[in-house]
Amino acid sequence: MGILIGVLSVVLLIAFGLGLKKYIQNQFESLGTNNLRLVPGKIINSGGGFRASPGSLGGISFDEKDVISLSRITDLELVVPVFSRSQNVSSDAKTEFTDIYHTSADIFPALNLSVVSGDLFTKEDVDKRSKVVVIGPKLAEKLFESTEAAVGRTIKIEKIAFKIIGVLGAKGGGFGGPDLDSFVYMPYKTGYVFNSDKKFVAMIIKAKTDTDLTTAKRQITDVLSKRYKEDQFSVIEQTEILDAISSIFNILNSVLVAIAAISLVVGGIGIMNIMYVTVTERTREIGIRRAIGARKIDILAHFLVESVILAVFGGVMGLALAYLIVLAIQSLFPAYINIQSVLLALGVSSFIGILFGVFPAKKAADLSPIDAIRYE
Amino acid sequence: MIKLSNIWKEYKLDTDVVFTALKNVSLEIKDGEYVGIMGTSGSGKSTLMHIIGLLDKPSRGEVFLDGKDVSTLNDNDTSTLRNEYVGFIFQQFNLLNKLTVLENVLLPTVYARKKLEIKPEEKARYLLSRFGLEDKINSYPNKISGGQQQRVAIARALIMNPRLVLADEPTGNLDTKTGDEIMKLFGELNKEEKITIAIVTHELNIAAKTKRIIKIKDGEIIK
Repeated sequence: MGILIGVLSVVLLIAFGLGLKKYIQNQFESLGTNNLRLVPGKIINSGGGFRASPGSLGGISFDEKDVISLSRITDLELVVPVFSRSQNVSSDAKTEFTDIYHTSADIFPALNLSVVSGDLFTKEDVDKRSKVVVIGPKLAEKLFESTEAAVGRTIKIEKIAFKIIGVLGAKGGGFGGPDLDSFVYMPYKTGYVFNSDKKFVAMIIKAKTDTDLTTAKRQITDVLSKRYKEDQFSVIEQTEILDAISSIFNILNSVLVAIAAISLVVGGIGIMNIMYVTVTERTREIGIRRAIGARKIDILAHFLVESVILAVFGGVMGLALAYLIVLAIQSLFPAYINIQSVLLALGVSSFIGILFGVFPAKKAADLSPIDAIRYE
Repeated sequence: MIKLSNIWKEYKLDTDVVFTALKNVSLEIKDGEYVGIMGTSGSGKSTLMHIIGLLDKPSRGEVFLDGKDVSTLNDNDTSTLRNEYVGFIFQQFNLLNKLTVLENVLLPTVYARKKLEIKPEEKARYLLSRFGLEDKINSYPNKISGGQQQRVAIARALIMNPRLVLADEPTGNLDTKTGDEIMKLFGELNKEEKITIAIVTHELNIAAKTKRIIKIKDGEIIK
């Protein structure tokens, strides 16, 4: 039973961890490839982990000058300024709290975004400061019941009315990360009413397909170094963010798995107790077997095999249960069981069977045949 | 075939109290003999049987099997000898209740280390049918009578073609009639198949059915 729960929790946690990692990977991939992100401060250190730096909070921010200077780099395809705020967005009936991206029309190709109904805003909308927005499908459904119904309606942000001209296709999201499907995208110049400094918190930069990202990074750094110190900004590849997130997840996951492994040890002790009782109950049988020629090693092997069978049975049950649970929640959460966790579960449970079976089996083997056969 | 020479067996009961179960016992059992080892309870006859059957080791003295000293062999080797040379029959039958009659008879062959000259299952079926148990082959020991169980135990003792069959109070748990039948079977096995048999008992009328009686009292052979 202990083994069952132990294997169940270990396998499930690994499955969740793998699922989450894969999910995040997909999420990043769906946000477009060959992308770089320009952010203030040095947020990723050379070791690949996140670093809390004063620069990332309240440090520099970028402005239109930077957009223009970066756009001059020929290897870059798109330079998209982003300012974002979290605010209440209301329709006539409802209010939702969500993130609003103030950005240029180039964000849509850069992040592979497209509409399911209506249109995207254009460069003219940005220049004319049109009071239009493009919203995510989840937000559309929350505020207007359906994606189609949202197009043409108005939403209010801080009492200013914006016309919804398009609703984006679903990208998925959530689980603590940004819920991309609930975002509001607004032309950044329109957004200056909320952003009087005319600053941007980040830029999404798409390099041309045949450009090496490292080269692009260096060029961006060179251009920006003329205005800022090098440690005041970072140019990050998607993969770097991914690596950093992955390393955090790996640590988190191993801690959880380690905790779950404790129940395996508890299960092992349970098996040891069962085996001790078995050995005592079968003392006479052991004596008989010894009398007719079983060696100590035969008895040892006999009880070890039983112990391993017991443990592996528990392991297989745990694995089966974990599989059923993963199957059941697959639609809600992208967990999956890989061959490594199956092998791990079986390996660990047989190991525990041997480890905790050895003492009872040794006890059985060391019984004196005469005493054992007389045992009542 | 088996020879005990100046065997002492002592048990430490307490730090300084030593109980001597066997005192300077020497005896020999020859091939084809049918021996009764007789003594009252506590006389040391069971200890003697354990030493003859290589289940126990003497404190002092030597045990020779075919002229070879086996009292100093390690546990693995004595286990192998028990498997090949000795067939045990107990008062309590000592069959495994979770195994069928046939599986019980075959149990010693599981632990055989040498290549068997016999076909185990064939031999087991032969022995069982010879003892009138052919219809009980797939029964479990707790579902058959005491006399039948003891016959299964005898079949198990014979499956490896042992040199010596050792029976410890084989009739002790049986009524007189069944006990007589078992003793008759031993007589036949000795007479017809020349199997060496030693029977440990406290009953004179059982010992009387053997061809030679070794009497033991207070750990010493008295006759």
